[in-house]
Amino acid sequence: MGKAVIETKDLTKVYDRKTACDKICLSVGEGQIFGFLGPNGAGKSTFVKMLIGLVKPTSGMASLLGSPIGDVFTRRRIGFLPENFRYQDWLTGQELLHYHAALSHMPREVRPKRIGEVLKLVKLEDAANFKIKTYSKGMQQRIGIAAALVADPDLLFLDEPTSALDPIGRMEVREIITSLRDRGKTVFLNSHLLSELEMICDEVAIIKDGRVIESGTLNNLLTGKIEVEVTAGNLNGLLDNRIADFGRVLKVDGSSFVIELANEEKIPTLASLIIRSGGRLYNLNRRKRTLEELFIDVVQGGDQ
Amino acid sequence: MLIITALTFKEALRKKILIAAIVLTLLFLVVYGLGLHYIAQDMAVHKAGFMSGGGSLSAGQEQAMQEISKRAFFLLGIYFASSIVSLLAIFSSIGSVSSEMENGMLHAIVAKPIRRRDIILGKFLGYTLMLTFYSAVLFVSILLLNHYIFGSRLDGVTGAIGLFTLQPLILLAVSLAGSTRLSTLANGIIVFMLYTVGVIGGMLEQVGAMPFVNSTTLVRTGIITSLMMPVDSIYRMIVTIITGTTQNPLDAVIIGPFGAISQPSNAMMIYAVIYLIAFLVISVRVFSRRDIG
Ligand SMILES: Nc1ncnc2c1ncn2[C@@H]1O[C@H](COP(=O)(O)OP(=O)(O)OP(=O)(O)O)[C@@H](O)[C@H]1O
Ligand SMILES: [Mg+2]
Repeated sequence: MGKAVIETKDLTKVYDRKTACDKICLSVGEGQIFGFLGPNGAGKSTFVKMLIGLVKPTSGMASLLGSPIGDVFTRRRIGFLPENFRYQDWLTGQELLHYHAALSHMPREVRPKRIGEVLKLVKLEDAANFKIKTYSKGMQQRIGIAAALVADPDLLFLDEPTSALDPIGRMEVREIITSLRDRGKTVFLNSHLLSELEMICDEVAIIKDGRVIESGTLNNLLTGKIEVEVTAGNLNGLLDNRIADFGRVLKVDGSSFVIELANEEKIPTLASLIIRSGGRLYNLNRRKRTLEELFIDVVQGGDQ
Repeated sequence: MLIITALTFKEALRKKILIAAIVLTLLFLVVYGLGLHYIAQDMAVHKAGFMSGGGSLSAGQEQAMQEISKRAFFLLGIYFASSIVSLLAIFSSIGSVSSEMENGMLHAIVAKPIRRRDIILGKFLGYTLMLTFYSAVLFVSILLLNHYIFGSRLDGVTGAIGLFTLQPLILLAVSLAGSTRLSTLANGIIVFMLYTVGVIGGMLEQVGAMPFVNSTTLVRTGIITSLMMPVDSIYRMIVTIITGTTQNPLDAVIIGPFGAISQPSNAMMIYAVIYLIAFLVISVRVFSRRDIG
C-alpha cells in the first residue's frame, strides 16, 4: 500500500440535533479503490462533503493528498461526483465539461482533446451538443462522471456513481474505475451496490450511525472466518457430536451443512473424519462470505 | 472568478432573461415615446385654443407651465425606469445562490479549486455588467426621447447615468446577500418589502417636505427608510440633477411625490455606496462559512 492520500482523525459533523459523522478515523492508501458503505442516513455523504469542502467539520482533522482539507490548490487534483448530481442544464454536455475544465485550471489548449476523451469514456459523444436538460437521468449521471474526470484527478470521490445507470452502464463505470486504479489513481466510492463494490474494491469501511463499525481489506474481511459447506451422506449422527466439536454449525439442510472452522488446518481434518467414519463426501466447499452477508451481519449485529 | 461571471452571463442568455428584458423595455420605450409625442402635440393645440378664445398668457407664465409639464413627464419616465431596473435586479438575482444550493447545482462547483469568495464575486460581477449596461441604455433612451420630443436640455444631466446604474446594484447586493442565507421565496419577500418600504418612505418624505404640509416627522421617516434601503434617495438625487435646485412652488403640486423637494445629501450617496459594499461583504462572509448540502 502506497502513502495515505486520505487521512482523517476523529472527523465529526454534528448538524443541529443529529450527529452525522462521529469521530471517523480512516486512512486510504494511494492507488486504492475504497468502498464506503452503510445504511441510509449513516453519514456517508456527509463524510465526503466534509472532505470535499462543502460542509465544515464540527471537530477533528483530515487531509487529502497531504494537505489539510479546504486547501484550494489541492482541489485541482480532486474530482467529485455529488450524490444529487444536478448540472447547469441550460448548457450542452460539451459546454459543461469546458466550464469544469476551466474551473479546474486546465490549460486551454489541452481541453478540447481531453473533453473528447471523457465524452467517449462515458459514451456521450452523440449527445455532447445537446442541452443537458434534454438528457435522461442516467445520461446526466454520466455527464457528471465526465465532469468529475475531466481534469484527470489523482483522487476521485464518487457518491453513488451508478445509482441511475443501466446494468451495462454500471459495468462500464466499474471498468472506468478500475482503469483509474491501474493508472495509480485513488477512488473513494460511496455505494449501496454491494456486489459491485465487492468486485472492484480493495478496501471497505462500513459505517452506521456516523461511526465506522468495520473496516479493512476486502480479503481480510471476507475470509477472516473460515466457512465450509459440506454435502455428505451416511453421517450417522456425526453432526451431533464429533463434528460439532470443530466449530459452530451455521446451517443444516438435509445432507448439507455449513460449519465455521477455527483455522484452515481444520479443513483436511474434517474431511478425513467424515471419511473415516464411513460418510460419503459429495462436496466440500470453502465458502467466501459475500460483502452482503458481512454487511447485514455487522449492521444488524450492532442492533442486538 | 471570471468563469463564474461567464456562466452567469450564459445563464441569462440561455434562459432568455436578457431577451425578455430587452423586448419589454423596447415596448416601454415605445409607449413612453408615443405618450410624450401626443402630450407635446396636445400642449400645442391647447395653447392655440386658449389664445384664440381670447385668453392671454404672459410669456413668462406660458414658459413656466410648459417647463413644469415637460419636467413632470421627464421625471415620470425616470421614475418608471428606476422601478424597472430595480425589479429586474431583484428578480434576476433573488435565488442566484439559494436555488442553486437547494437543487444541488452548486455542489460540483464548490468542490472545484475556486474560493467561495470568487463564486460570489463572479456572480456579482456578471449581474453587475448586465444590469449596468441595461440601465445605462434605458436611461440614455429616456433622455434622448425627452430631448427630441420635448426639446429638453441634456447638459449636466448625463452625469446622472452613474447614479441611475447604481440603483439596481444596491438591490443586487442585498438580494445576493439574502440568497446566501435565506430560501429563494423568503428572500424574495424580504427584499421586495425592503424595496417597497424605501419607495413609500421616499414619497412620504417628499409629501412631508411640501410647503403646505411641512412635516418634519414625515421627512424623518423618509430619511430612516432611506438608511434601510437607499435606492429611493438615489432616485431623488437624479431628480435633483435633472430639475436643478430651482424651487418653483408649482413643482411641488404637479410633480409632487415623484420630485425632490426634500433633497438627499451627498452623505446619503456615500452611504449608499458603503451600503452596497457592506452587503457584498456579508454575501461573501455568509457564503464562505455556511454548509452546502
Ligand atoms: N443539511 C443537513 N441538516 C441536518 N441534518 C442533515 C443534513 N444533511 C444530512 N443530515 C443528517 O445526517 C445524517 C447523515 O446523512 P448522509 O446524507 O450523510 O447519509 P448517507 O449515509 O449518505 O445516506 P444515504 O445512503 O441515504 O445517501 C442523516 O441522518 C441526515 O438526516
Ligand atoms: Mg448519501
